[in-house]
Amino acid sequence: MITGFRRNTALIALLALTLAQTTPVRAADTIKIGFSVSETGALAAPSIFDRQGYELAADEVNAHGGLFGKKIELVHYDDQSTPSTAVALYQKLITDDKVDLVMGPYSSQINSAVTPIVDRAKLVMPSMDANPTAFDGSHPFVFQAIAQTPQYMAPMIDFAARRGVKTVALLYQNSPFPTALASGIKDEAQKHGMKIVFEEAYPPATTDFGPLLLKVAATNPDLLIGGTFLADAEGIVRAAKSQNLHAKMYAFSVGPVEPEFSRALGPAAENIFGNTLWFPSLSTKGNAEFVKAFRAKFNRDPDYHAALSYAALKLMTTAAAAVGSLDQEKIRTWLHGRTIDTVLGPFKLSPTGLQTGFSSYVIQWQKEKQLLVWPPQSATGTPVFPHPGWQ
Amino acid sequence: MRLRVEWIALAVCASLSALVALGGNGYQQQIVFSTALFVVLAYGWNVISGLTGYLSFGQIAFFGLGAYVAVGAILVLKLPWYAAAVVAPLAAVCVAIPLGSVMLRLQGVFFTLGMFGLGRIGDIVASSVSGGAMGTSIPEVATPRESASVMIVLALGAIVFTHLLINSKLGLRFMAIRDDEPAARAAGVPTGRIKVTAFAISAALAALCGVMYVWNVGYLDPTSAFSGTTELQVVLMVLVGGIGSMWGPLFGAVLIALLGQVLWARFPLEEQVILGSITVLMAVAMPGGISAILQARGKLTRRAVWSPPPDARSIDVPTRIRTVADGDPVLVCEALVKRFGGVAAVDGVDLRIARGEVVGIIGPNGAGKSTLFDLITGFAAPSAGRVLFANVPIGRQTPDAIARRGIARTFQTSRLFATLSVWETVLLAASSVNAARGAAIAEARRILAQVGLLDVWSRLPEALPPGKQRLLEIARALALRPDVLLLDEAMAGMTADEIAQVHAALRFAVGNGCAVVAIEHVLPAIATIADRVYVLDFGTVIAEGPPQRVFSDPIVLDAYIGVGTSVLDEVAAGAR
Amino acid sequence: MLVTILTLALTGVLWGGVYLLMASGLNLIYGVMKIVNLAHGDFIVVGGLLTLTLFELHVNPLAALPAAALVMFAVGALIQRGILERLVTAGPAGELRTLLATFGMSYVVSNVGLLLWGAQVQSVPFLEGSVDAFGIRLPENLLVCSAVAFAFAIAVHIWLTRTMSGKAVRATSQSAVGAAACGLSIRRIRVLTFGLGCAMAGAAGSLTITLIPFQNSSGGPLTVQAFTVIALGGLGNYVGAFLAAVILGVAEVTTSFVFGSNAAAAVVYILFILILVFRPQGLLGRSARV
Repeated sequence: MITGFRRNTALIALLALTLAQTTPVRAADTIKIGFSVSETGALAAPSIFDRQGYELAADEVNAHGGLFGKKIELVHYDDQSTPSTAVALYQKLITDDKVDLVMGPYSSQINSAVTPIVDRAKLVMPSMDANPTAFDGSHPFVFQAIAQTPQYMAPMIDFAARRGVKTVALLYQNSPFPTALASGIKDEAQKHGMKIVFEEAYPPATTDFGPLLLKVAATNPDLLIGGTFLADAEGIVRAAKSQNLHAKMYAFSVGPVEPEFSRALGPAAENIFGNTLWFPSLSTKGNAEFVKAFRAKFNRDPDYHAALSYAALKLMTTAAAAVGSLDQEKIRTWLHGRTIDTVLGPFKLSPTGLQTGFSSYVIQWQKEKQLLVWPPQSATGTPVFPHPGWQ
Repeated sequence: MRLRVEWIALAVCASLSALVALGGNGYQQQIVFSTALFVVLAYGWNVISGLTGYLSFGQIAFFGLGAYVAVGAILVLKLPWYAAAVVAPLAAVCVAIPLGSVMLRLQGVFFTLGMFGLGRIGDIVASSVSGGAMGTSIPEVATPRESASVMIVLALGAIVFTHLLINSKLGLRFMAIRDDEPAARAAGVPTGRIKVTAFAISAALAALCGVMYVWNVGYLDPTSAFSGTTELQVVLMVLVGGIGSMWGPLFGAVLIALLGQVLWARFPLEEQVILGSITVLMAVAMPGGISAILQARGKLTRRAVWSPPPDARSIDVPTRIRTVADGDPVLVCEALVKRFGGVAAVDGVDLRIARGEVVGIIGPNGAGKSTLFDLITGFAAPSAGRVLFANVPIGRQTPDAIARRGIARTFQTSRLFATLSVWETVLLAASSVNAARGAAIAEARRILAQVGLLDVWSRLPEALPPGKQRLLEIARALALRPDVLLLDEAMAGMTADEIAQVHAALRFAVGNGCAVVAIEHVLPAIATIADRVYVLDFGTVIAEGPPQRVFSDPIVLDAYIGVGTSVLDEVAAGAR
Repeated sequence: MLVTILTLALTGVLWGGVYLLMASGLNLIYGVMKIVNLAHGDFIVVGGLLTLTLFELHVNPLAALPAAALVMFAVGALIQRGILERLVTAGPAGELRTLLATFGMSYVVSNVGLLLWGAQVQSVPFLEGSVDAFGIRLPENLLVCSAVAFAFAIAVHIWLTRTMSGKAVRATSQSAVGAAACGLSIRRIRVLTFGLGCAMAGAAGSLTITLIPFQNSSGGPLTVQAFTVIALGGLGNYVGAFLAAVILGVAEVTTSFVFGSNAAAAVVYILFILILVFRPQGLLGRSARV
């Protein structure tokens, strides 16, 4: 019985120890900015870009004397790509680490999960949630720092319409971002007088797209458009190729924007269209410097996730500097009142926190390179249309 | 009764956690909440996988179900969270009962993987309905203080509940099923119903956790609701603490939840590798977990259910009301046939056993004797023919129903419950036919005294010599107060003393009108007490009659050539 | 219409080949050691990811296959020798222990995969064209992979039934005690078997990653898929597994076409549970299992 008692005492001690460990030593001479990163799990790859964007922005601010003369200290934890873990972490950041500013985690899903508690704590958070639903005015402290999902592929549809596309086959993953995106695509297509000849949602776990593309092939669409992430975009292209589908254009939301797309697909990636919110060649304010600094620091090219987070942290520090304090209400008001130039283009908020400034660009893979092909004023190459057929 | 040290320690632990829950910061409260949540999940999982022995890798499906029902109840029905906490476990029970009735027909790895599949189906269903993989926010969210406080209370509730369960008839039946399901059926335990009960309890606890999770997080998505990682953690916790034990889930949950916090902070990438490695190591090196280590030193050992047996005062047990008049056949087999593929193991056997009669069944190996018993007791279904008990066909009744109706049996190779004491083994059977606790205890005590096992009542079967183990099996059968007792080589390996004890017990039962049918290879053991003998060969009765006549029958001698006639001579002499 | 039906049926049969190879390793290990290796799917994934690494070094996936199989053989043999051999499998809780051990192992393997290859979804482009005959269009890579998978599975079957060492393995699967009495080293056979089972998983992974993309966490569903095949075919029954693999392939492809991918994802599990409940002895099995 004594041993049993000791065992319990040990557990209590361990509990106390763990709790004691979590009480941090407060360093009053830094400004703490907190967020979670999906270091592990399904979202790891883009999320790490996110973190690096934050880190680069913090470095730059610190190199220019910091904020109010204090250095910025980033406090971040791994949310393992799960919303519930992220909720617990933001709880910790707010109540335990007592961070001064919070940034959004990666993915619409995780952002919408943490939105209620951040808003309740009355902290301003730039959210990477592309879905408009959270920005209906019920969370006044959270604002969108990305482009709205339904409009995400508007430039793509615009391009297709101008090239005479009439029929569309729409495939999308039944997860939040692609589902919202699909409704936007349908609206835009209708606006341009196109006809949706095929539409189907598939679960995230889908790996074999053969049967799906067999059905698509029967409808013979001009445009095959996918509300996708990387893996499913690859799967669809592969299946389209083996079905020898003859569409004039293949376009995907996420997928072609990733460098892995061409590496995984080889020649099949050629002439596929994709979407991005940012491109290295953009002549937006500070973009060239951003790309250069990112390469120097992380030894790789940034992607649009890095650009988004970089811009978001800059927005927050600029706002704090402008209002001269960390007063969240003031920062919020300041951000809502104006158009601000970022590496992605002009940033602007609607009264309920929707971002209505910068929007997306169309890219295309040509000769194993991504070219920005639409809209024409930003283009670095000419689009190949129609698709010349699979090699 | 003296309050044991572990309960005092638990009270101290709980008070400390309550202090943190009320006075700590949000993050500390969150740690308390998730630790307590895992305690409840671990105890829930322990009911089906630990106590009942049906290893499920899909209980997370009920967590997800509970969470989704809670979201529905809060968003659609506008119920408050505490109402959802009632509705969701009920819903889980409603799903678990039909589901368990089907799934629990599977054994071993089939059940385990079947449940794993169900968890994945849950995920797929949740992502294709209910707004898809989007996840749902709910408006009514607890503060960390509220959820931590409520969760501590629930964890204490789960601990007390498990304590009561382990010390109850239901708990005893769970453990019997875990140790040996066919033997539990032979002891009259309605295993189908009991397993589903365990499954439903387990499901309800998991669903309750699902509700608390939603209330705490305020957001639900299919991946979190049906998370394989959560499942792994729960399995690991119970394994580390000691599967099937009273305190194991608590030890494991607290230890792993806190270890997880540390690991995850220091080694976010390696956390799962470490947890997985611990699982492998635990399974290889110390499958009993912390509890087993403590129990090996005599700490925290489980006390036998409803023990100790009452003192020796004469307890008057009412005799069972007989359904058969004296002299009527109590058990009749009519043209019983059992075929396996093309081979008939039992081929048209007719048997008539009268009340109070002692009948021997002999025959060479493979003659179909044990199969005959399986047919009579419902462990196998006859291909043709029928069995009548007290003039009523037993039809397709389950073995446990037949056992409760009055046909008890032992098995050819000993089937005892590895973790049940002598007392519990007999009590299990006695409580199958005595609804009242007092009557069951009195009956079990009487039988133990009768077969001479009362002084070893607290031992586990493995601590008994082989002869005593067989004696315990007979005692278990007798505790059903049978009208027919089928003994399958029950006296093999017994000392003369033990055989004498068995004979005394049998005489007592026979005196009460019980018929005994005994398969024996130790021929003298049967010849001395048998009124009649049936000889089986190739699945048919080749001779029948009083022992001395049968043993001198040339047909019988012919069938026994392999055995050697001298044995038979000896037997015949003994019988005379 | 007829063309569509034929295309679906043939695609299903071809997928059946891949499923057969996935399941054969699991079947072999179960047959000899009565262990259901819950990490089997994770070994398949690691085999695939090894192939990816070799592919990035410009090795053809088919050439990478033996290498992946060999590496997985070594891994499997080491695991058996170092860990599983020490596991007490006898007694009532024996099965529980093996399940828990391999369950834990599946997390170790998939997360070692995470550390080595990251969490992103990866695939290997290989023979991306298609073969067109009478309007029936079949992907080239599926044709090749299926053929290799069938060949591999059949080769192992022949090895088991026709060679001395194979017969020793089969003898052990029927009676370990009997085999030991015949002078066979049971320990060596178990190491060989587990290694070979893992090698088949590795080979299956090499082929599968050219067909569908993998990420480190893809293993769990693959284990169930492989287990479904052997449950459907009857445990330890190799002919049954062949039939079952084809049925599963056709069922999945057809469901996906008719009811959509959502249903196809569930059909494996539904089929699995239905078989377990209504035909626990498998398609060709006769005696009920206890």
